[in-house]
Amino acid sequence: MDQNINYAYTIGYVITAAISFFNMGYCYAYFNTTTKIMHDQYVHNDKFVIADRDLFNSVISALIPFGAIFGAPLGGILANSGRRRAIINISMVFATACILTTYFNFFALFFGRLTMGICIGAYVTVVPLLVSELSPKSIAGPLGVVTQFM
Amino acid sequence: VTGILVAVTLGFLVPYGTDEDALTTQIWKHLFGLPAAFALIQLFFLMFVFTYDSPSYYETKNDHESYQNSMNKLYSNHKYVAVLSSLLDEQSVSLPVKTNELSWGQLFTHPHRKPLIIGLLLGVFHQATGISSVTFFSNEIFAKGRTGESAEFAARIGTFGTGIAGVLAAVTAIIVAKHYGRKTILLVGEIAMAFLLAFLSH
Repeated sequence: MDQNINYAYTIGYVITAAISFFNMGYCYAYFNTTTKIMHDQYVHNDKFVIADRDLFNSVISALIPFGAIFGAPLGGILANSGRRRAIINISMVFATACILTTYFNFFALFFGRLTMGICIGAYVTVVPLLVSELSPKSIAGPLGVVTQFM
Repeated sequence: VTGILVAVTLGFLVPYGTDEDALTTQIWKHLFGLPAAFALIQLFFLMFVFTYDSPSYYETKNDHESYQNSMNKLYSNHKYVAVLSSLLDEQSVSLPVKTNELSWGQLFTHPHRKPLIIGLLLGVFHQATGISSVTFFSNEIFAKGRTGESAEFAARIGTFGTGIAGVLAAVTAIIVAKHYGRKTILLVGEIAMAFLLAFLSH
């Protein structure tokens, strides 16, 4: 049966699901390089912001892991109603939260990042579950690595 | 790790704090919005291309028709799928419905306790290595002891370096995993991490 795996479909599906992990890594890392100019711009425009730049960086960075604490159990519950549906729902909320963070407002950034954190926590539960269930035994190893690599 | 690498690579586009356009640049809007674009691409594919859930999910829901449809998508050998689904039918008739779900109580009893402890410890070790703190604060770490433009440049290069190192480590681990086994790599990694973190905090 191994030679009859529909590789295009299986691998395509796994990569599509693994986009979540790409987004996770991206969101972990992007604030690092932008934090300085963001803080300068908030101060320059007299917008509300945490006055201490290091504290601002720490708080906004930590929102994603903090949200993920609550997102992970939520992901388990969502997975019961279908893994694919769960990812669709989470991605919709995630995309909305990302767009929210593009507004030049501290609270938009704060709640956007928090919601992104919850979504990422949920992804971490649902996506590996879907990938492991989709993968035919013979290529389960390489496909499992795809999520980590993204 | 590819996501982290892309994020730190795009970080080069962000002007330095000392640059004149630092206070007016809108580039961060594009950086912040990019994951939304990827999420929308993912949504498109999940809604219109990959329209079936995993076979295992349909199995637990006893939805044989969707199970077969899903299997037909994953495997092109229809005959095999037909045989398997007929087996599934017989089982569901002769046996009471068996779910793979464990209760919370069962999770902490004999056959599941050891994997649970190992799984939890792996997570704890991963977090305790403190790699996230490097991902989050590499800019500050590499800028330490420098001022002005050289600090910003060092920060960008250093952050980019951590991204590259992450990708290289992942590739190496995949190649080496076949020869030495997962446990050895994990042990070597933890020991190396202990030394490197001591060095980092020095």
